[in-house]
Formats: sequence, C-alpha cells, structure tokens
Amino acid sequence: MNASPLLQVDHLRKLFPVGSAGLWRKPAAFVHAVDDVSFTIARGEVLALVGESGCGKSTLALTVLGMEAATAGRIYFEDKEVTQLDLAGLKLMRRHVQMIFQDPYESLNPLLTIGETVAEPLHVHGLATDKQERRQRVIQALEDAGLKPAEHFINRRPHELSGGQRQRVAIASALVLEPTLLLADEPVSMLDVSIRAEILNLLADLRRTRGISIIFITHDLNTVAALADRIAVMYLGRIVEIGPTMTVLQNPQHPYTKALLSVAPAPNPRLRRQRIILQGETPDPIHLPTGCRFHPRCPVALTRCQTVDPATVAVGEEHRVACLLVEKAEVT
Amino acid sequence: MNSRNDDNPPLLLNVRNLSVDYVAHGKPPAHALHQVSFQLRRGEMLGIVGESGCGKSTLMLSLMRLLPAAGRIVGGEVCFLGRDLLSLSENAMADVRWKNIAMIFQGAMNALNPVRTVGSQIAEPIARHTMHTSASLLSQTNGAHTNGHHQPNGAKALHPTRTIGSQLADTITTHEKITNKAILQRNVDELLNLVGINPNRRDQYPHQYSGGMRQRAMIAMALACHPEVVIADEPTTALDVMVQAQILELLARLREQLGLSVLFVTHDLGVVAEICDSVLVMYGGVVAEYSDVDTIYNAPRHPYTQELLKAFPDLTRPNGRLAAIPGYPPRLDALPPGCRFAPRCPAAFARCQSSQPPLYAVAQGHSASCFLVACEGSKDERVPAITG
Repeated sequence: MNASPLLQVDHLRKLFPVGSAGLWRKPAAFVHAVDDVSFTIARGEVLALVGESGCGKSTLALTVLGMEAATAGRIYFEDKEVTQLDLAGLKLMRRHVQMIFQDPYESLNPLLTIGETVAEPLHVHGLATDKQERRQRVIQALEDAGLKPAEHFINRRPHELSGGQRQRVAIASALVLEPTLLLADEPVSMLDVSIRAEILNLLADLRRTRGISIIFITHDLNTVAALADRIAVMYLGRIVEIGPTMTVLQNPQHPYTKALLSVAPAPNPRLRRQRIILQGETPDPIHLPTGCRFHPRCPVALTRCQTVDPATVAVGEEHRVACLLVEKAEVT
Repeated sequence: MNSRNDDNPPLLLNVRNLSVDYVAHGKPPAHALHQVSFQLRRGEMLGIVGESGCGKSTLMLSLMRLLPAAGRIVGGEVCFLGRDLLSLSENAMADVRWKNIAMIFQGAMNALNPVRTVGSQIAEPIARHTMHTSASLLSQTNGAHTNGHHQPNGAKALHPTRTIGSQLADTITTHEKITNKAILQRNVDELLNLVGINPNRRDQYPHQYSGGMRQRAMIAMALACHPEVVIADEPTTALDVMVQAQILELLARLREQLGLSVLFVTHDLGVVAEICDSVLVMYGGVVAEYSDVDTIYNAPRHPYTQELLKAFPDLTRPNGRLAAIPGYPPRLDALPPGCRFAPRCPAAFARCQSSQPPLYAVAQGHSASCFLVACEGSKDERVPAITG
C-alpha cells in the first residue's frame, strides 16, 4: 500500500471564468469549483467523495480524467503527470481510468445494442481488432458486470432493460478496457433500493477480484459506508475532512461532517436523533465567504473563522481536517 | 407507540380494497393496484414505501381521481370523512381537490425552460394572460408524471414563466373565490412565511429559487386552501441531504402547527423512519405490509419488508455486506400468477406460486399479505385484516 499511489492529486485548483466584458458580469469572476485539493489513492482502494451538489466533486472527477484542464496544481496517475499529457497521452491514460455516470437512462445510446455499446471503447482505443477476440472481451465484461448469460443481453437494446441492468451495462463498458481506476459519479442514486445493494456489491467485488481502485462520488453517506476505505468530505471546492471510513463515521471532527452525518437518515425509528440542520444552502462558489468558507453556516463558528482560512491539519492517522476548532484543540 | 389506541384522533381517509387497472388497446388490462386498504387519521403521517412500479404514484393519483386516461378504478372505495370520493360528480370532486386534499408533486426542480431567454419568458404571461387554474396545473403535472418513473425531474409543477406569488394567488382565487388583491397578497405572504421563504421574493421567478426553495414553494401551494390531507409525492427525492433534512423538518413542523395529515410517498426507507408514524409497504400493486413505524422496522413480518431493510445501506453497520434482493420488481403487464413477490422471495413455497395472499392480521394494527403469517396465526385470525 505504501508503494507509489495509483493517483496523486496535489493542490489541484479548477476555476471556471464567468461573464466577460460586455455582458452583465464583470470579467475576472470565477467559480471556484475545485480549490486547493490534495489526496492520493492507493491501488485497490475505494475513496468516497462526499458533498452536496455544487461542492465540486464532479468537476474534480472530470479534471482527474483530463476532460477539464486544471487551473493549477498537479495530478499524477501511475507517476505520469496528467496535466502535462498531450491528447495521445490522455487517450492512453483514459484506457486505465474509466467513468460510470449517474443516470443509466441517459448515459446509454438507445440506438446501439448492448454488445455494440460495450464494444465501443475497444473500437475507440483500437484494441481487440479481431472480431472473435472482441466478442470474447465483450462477453467477459458483461458477465463480470453481472449480466449472465451475456448472450442473452448482447443483442438487446437499452429500452429492453431495467435500470439496474442498464447500470450494469455502463459498468461493463467501463470494465471492457480493464481499467485500474473507476470514477463512479453517483452510480446508484437513480436506482431502487433493492437494486442499489446489488450494484454496490458488484463494485465491492470488482475491487476485491480485480484490484480496481474506485473514486465513489455521492451525496449520500449511507451508500458509501459499506464500500469505501476512506471518506473525503467536500465543501465549496475544498476537502474539509478526509480519513478512514470508520474514523470519519465514528469520530467526525469537522462541524460540516458532523452535520452531514446527523441528517443521514437511519433506517430505524429507534435511532431518531438530534439532527444538526444547517440553514440555507451552499453559498455561491463565485463569491466565496472570507475566512473559513463554511463559517456562515457553521453552528460553532468563532469570530476568528470569519477571517482565517483554516489549514488542513492531521488529527490522527490518515485523518486530516480543515477547521480552526480542531487546530485549537491541537495546540492546547 | 402512536395513535392506535381508543383515544384515536378522527379518521379522515379510509381507503378500502382500492383496485386500479390500466387499459391499453388490444392488450389485457394491467392491474396496477389490487385491493389496497389503509386509513389516515388527523395529524398522522403515513409513509407509503415501495420501488418504482409498485403502484404508489397510481395510488396517490387515484385518491385525487387524477389518473391518466388509461387508468380505471375498478373497485373499492375512498372515504374522506365518511363520503366516498369515487361516487362524487366531477364537479364535487373538483371542490375536494386542493381544498380538502392537496398534493406536493415531485420534481419542482427543472421548471425553467433553459433554451429561451429570460426576457421572452417574462413576455409570455403578458401575451397569454389567461388564468391558469390549479386544475390545469395539476393536469400538466400529471402528464409529465405518468411518462415514467425514471424522470423525476421531468415534471413541471411550477409554471416557469409566472412568478411564484402569482401561482400561489391563482390557487387561492380558484378555490377560495378571493378576488381582493390586497387580501390575496397578504395570503400569499403568509404562506411564504409559513414555509420559510421571505415574502419579498414573491415576485421572483422559479429559476431565481434554489431547488429547496422551489420545493418549499410547492408546499406553500399545497397549503394554499388549508387542506386536511396533504399528499407528498417524493418531495425530497431530487434534493441534497441537507436540503432534504430542511424539508423534512418543515413538513414535521407544519404537521404539528396545522394538524395536517400527510401521505408521504417515497422509496427511501430512511426518510420514512425519520418522520412517519405508520408505514404502508407496497409491492407490485398490492399492500405487502401495513403497521406503525416501529413494528415495520423492528418486527417486520412480510419477507419483502425484511429483505428491503437488509438491502438498505446503513451507517450504523458500515461493514456489513448489503443483502440485495435478487431479481427485479414485476412489470405490471407481466405479473406472476401467484404472490407478486414469490419469484424473489426467499421463503416462498408451493402455495405462493398459485395465488396472491390477502392481507392477514398479525396483531392489532399490523397486517401483512403473506401466507406465512396466515400459517402461524390461529384459525380465528386467519381472516383478511381490514374488512371495514
């Protein structure tokens, strides 16, 4: 595990310019989608990226894939710097980094058969040009994604499948390239509860049998608890807390993490508890609050939080938090 | 644990053996609902839980008699304060809608037309200027609603080109016959206050609202005519956890404050555990299990409820492997011959393959449609639970 990480993200920043001279907004305003984010992923590790919509978690994934150019910072995938790669280099990298999207009703081309959909990445990357071999790999990918027997599905089209089956097709077309890293963006949020568990178990199996690393992006802490090794909580473009799953769940340090945990619905009325409900919504990522970006909604903010942007400090093994209250505890 | 004693609050809604078919040309009818029964008392929050296609939306629409053209209520009754809504004339039913039973629709999110300029959209109501009655709002939503369960954002419940304030006002004028502008405006302001929106945002457009605020506006709209019963159809599904918590808190507060009865339709077992008093679990168009919330979560008797709970990811046992239910929910046009859950049921036996079990009483206020319950009960108890 301590060998070089599969993916290393270093002070990554992604700003989107908004407005330009002549329109209403002045130029030089920026959406701070990802703002100074650093983390690593080991081979075979599952990292959950948790946060509300607009916190930058999807942008982070797209930047890792090289689909958005980073504004600043570095991304290393298998020791190669993604931010420096040319198109050919990116294409080669994407063979190893695949993405699964949220909505299996929209991410599949309705005109293609399942077999064609799964074979498409092979086409794109010029792999398995032999017809027999290609079919073999497609069948293998479908079966690995739990669509058995594959022959039963290969000539059907998406509309003939249920939501869970479609998401399996999306997973199969990621698997067919035998990637080492999967970026799963809310892969189960559109699915029914009984189907959700199957897809989560499938992802867990893929990690176990193939050693695939997974970045699991979600706003739902419940779905990642069973799967993730570590959890990173994002707020307004920054990771405010990151640590091993059990540590974060049982000993959360950042007030935002505590609030998120308190509102995650527990499936038992006997576990109803005091919820920390943050008022309002995530502030505008264009005009970031001064100081700690969470302070306007923080239930325990100090005056100092309005001016000082907290640095990320280690509070335990692999457990890091960006909060002045935590820093204070460290000093005393 | 709750309102099932002798000092029960009054019964508002008594649904008995409600059955609904969808008919299509040249096809046998699809049995979307089969003999669904439940009761709703004043101030009660009843969670209606099930997966896509289990009939929960059909159930809500048939309570309001707003089924799409292909839907037919083929049996049963919907008694509201002793009156069978199914026997009312269309005009009489129109009076009940919104005034007695209102609905919070899912998908208040994508309300604004993204491909047209704001300017042209502002110009549109001036050109149209005809009053949208709430009935037309409803039918508009229904259309989108029945297109499929997989596009929760497809519904356009809030009209994109009219201000929130004017849409609230419409609802009030239609049903309360208030025409005085000042009174109307005060009513709208009160409603917005009630749901936690600053009234000075009355004249803004839906796109200026965040998702959570749009959902609040939807709730204000449902409350416009002081209904006794509010049907909330997946009111938090497309929202973030924190906004979801805010909306749940709002609904709980409104229930307390206004003595509302709420039918809370959702697929999320966690949300139901948080705020409901009682739970109706549906599967394939039938009631699988019906009881108070504590029993459903801690002593469920129907295998489907048990399996569903095991499949629900839970922070309190993060290392457990989730127990998925194999297979898929049945399609309404291809229901299994026996119990609708039998093909996926771990405890199914021969009898389950041939006939659908009726709802059996497990205990006072607890019923489940499973032959296993019938087998364990004494002879006397082996009668369908809800007979009226």
